[in-house]
Amino acid sequence: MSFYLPIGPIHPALKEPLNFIFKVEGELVIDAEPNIGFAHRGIEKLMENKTWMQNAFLAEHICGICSADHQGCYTQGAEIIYEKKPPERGLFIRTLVWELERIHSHLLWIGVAMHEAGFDTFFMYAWRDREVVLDLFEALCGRRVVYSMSTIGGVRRDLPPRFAEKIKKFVPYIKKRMKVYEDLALRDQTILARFQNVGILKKSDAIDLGAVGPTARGSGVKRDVRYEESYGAYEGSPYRIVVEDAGDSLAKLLVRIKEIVVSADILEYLVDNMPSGPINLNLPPMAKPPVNEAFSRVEAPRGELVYYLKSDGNLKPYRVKVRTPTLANITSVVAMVKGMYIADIPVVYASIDPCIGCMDRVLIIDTKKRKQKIMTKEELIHFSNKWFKRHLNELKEERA
Amino acid sequence: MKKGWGIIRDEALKRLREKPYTINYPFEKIEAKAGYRGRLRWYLERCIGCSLCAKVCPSDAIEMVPDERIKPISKRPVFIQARCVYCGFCVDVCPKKAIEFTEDYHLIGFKKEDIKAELIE
Repeated sequence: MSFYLPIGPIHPALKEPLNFIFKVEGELVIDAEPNIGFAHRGIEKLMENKTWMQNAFLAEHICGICSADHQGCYTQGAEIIYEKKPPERGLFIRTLVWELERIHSHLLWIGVAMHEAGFDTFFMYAWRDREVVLDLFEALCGRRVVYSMSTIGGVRRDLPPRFAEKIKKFVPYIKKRMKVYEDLALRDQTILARFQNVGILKKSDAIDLGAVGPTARGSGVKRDVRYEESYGAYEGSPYRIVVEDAGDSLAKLLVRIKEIVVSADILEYLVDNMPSGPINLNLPPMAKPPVNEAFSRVEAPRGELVYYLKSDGNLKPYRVKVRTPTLANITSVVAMVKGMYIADIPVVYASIDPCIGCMDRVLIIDTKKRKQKIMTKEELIHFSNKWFKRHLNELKEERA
Repeated sequence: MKKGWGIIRDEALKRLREKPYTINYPFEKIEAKAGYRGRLRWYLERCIGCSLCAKVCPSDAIEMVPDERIKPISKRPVFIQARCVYCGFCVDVCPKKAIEFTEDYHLIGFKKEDIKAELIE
């Protein structure tokens, strides 16, 4: 199998145009081929035409959901280029935004995955809890989705008054909610029928295919940048790695639910131990860096995010390379989807937390009937929900 | 031990007693939080025409046009609000605090030209 990688970064948000060709035999999927590159926007080239300071705002527009991680990863790399160390308080606030964002991203994913499985009640409740996080973001950053918090040498805004109290109130709330979520994930019949033993990624496959983030951790691979190297303000924080061994979609759901609890613990630590002092270094907007190169990585909600930056001493970067976690995980889908039913595709595909809308056009080739049909994402979800209602009783025995 | 459907049933019954979390947007409006990054506001009498805002804007949303009223450099910024990404870099770098954010988030229009920055002249 050969395919071409796009030159630009892939937009890992929802409704991304990406094409998958699944080879099926009757109802069973025997092979899949992802075709990527439809959302190429040339951002890496554009970054070479903007100044180092402006690129922080361009980097956060690569992704709408993990915008703070993109901006933070870029600024972390640019700080290596400029040979400057941001003040402690700046790092703490940056980490606070990262962890809040992880909670928001995982809640969004839970909602979307439940919607794909036809469980819209839970989808509404998950997004209702996400709204609480977005309100916190509005108070902290002034916007709900694109935060513009990090800059080279720290962060741009200090904590608003009484923000620590809000976090203190929020942490017990989200932990209580996660207990309900975990109960639901382990006992609800709808979730068990659609997630348990579906899309299994073996541990050896996860290592071979280079899976990152919750996709790898759901297969028992201890792969987390926060665990491997302590960046930001993670050193000394109550971080613990969450690993599930089953490797199916339910394990990935449980990893994300438990990670929200870990993030809530880190949030509490960050506001308790917030140092005083300046929040940034106040670098001039037209500061020139020395000739240097940097490699920066952070743990985004979807997995490891990598930035490579190169400076030739000018106001603008010589080269910027971005590797997003969805690109690392997309090959795992092929391993996960083999041997599954067509109706399982939405859940298996959603389990890596890609852009679901990537599946805008699914081409299904039936090798027995030699027939081709193209389904849109909505048609596929409708088809799979109907299919599961018909086959629920047989599946209960098969997947118990 | 509760069965699975019992959890979601209890949750639904609890929520039924509460009022809806969403609002009926065009008819009801909620206040943005303090420090919201909404529509830009520009003050004529504070501007000195230094063009720093136009230089740093990451999305090229600010253009400088000649204006005799501004001293010492006879130039004023024109905001193409539809291009703005609300990063606030211009607000940060302005030496005279001539640009600021308002808390107005109702940036709606039928044409790009309808979405305008607030100019105080």
